[in-house]
Amino acid sequence: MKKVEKNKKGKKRIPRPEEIIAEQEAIFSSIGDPIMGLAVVDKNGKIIHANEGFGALTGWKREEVIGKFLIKVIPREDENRNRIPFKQRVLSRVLLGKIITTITVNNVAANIEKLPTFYYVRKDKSRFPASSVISPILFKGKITGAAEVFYDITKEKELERIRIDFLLLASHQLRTPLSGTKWLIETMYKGLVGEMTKKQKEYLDDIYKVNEQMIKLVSDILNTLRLESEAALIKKEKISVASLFKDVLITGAAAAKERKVTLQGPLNHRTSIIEMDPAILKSILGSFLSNAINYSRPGQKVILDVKEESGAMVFFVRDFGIGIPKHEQKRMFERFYRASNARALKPTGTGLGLNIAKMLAEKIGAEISFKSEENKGSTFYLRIPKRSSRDAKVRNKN
Amino acid sequence: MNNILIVEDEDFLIRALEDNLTAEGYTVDIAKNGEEALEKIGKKKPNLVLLDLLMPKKDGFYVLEEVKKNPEWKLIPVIVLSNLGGDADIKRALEMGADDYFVKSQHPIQEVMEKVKDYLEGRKAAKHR
Repeated sequence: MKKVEKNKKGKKRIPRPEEIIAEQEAIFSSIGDPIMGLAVVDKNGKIIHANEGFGALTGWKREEVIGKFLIKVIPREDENRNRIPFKQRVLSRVLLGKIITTITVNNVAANIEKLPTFYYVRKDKSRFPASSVISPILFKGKITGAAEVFYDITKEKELERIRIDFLLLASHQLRTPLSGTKWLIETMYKGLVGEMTKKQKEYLDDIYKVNEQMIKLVSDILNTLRLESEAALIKKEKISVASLFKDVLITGAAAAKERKVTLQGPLNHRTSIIEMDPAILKSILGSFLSNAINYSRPGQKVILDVKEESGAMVFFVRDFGIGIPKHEQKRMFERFYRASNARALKPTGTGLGLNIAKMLAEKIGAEISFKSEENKGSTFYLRIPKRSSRDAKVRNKN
Repeated sequence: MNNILIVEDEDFLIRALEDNLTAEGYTVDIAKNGEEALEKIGKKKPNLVLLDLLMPKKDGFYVLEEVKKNPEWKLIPVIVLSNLGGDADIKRALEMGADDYFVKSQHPIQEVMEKVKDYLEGRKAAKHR
């Protein structure tokens, strides 16, 4: 580069040998295959190179797109056909140096950070679900452009849909014998098929309990799958925080009584309103509460409250129970994972509660975190960004 | 005496429902698929239908549609008993005119009995006028 600049000032710029340019073109255009699109842009985001796959995937001929803005040539859309604004496009942010590199992965593994599925719009306005990697091109520490590699993931999405449909059906088929067992035992309890001895009744109680556990497990699995399939719709309703607490506390009351744990709701009267899906909020807080009760010791108390923090409402549930061993803490949101002391105390949990809560939180744009110390207790937090609740408050004042 | 049609393809569920319903003093008819259900309703109009959704030969959604579009049948209360627990399935059945919906594994059979009683003893009658 330096050599070229220097020569610019001179009388004659050394022409790049045509073979070299042609070779470079040939390399770029042949990288990958028709299922992988590659585009290289300059620092302004204009396309300098595109491969054959780019043309095959987007419908644009290479010569039509060279020199054009990549983000305009292939618009991005979300699941609901909303265009992603240019400023929010990953490429724009990469060129501004805001992110180093991004990977969009769909439903691969829970520990890979994923962006939601997006679609690229072709020249003929049709679209395809895509997965992409965008990286800046750095030259002497400055961003001089970026390279984007993308794939059409229609097939992967289809396989994912088949997998989920299959599992949903399988879970339905599991529920049928379980509900049969449940109803037959209940009919026996009623004495409709004769009186039972005390011992027979005890056996039946055990069978009934085991069956109820299975029902819970299947129901949790179904809920997880439903969340993964993105089919669940999110409602937005105005809910008063006070009534939310009341509802959540009611759901935990029976279990708390059984385990001799005291529940303590917010001490000051809360008048805030938030706009959110009430079922999702109740489900997350209910799951926190149920864990707190299960992993407390008799006589202890569980606190449920909310605090306001910079730009967010933070709901939390605190217990003083068994806590989570430090080395197991990072696995708490994994599917089916249960801490060793939790398994010892309550062998029947499904290990899905927090995993579901986390997925639900993601759905509503909230975050879940926790602090815990073994034998001292845990506090679980649900942090909801405030923008949605602010509007509701203003309307309330008027 | 009130007559109830059980539309269900699993024998063990039919048995549990039948024993509980007869104990409550109802007479019971049984259909093991959607086609049989419509035939039985045509021959003898029941006072209430307990309807499963996933069945061979015409499913419960089809039965629901036929019952609710027929002027002579549409006032028969239909309680759906299904293990399809998705919001979409429940919404679809209710929109098609189901009067109630129970996800079988999530409810004790006694709740179903009480619901049946509600409908047949007129406590829910207002809804159908």
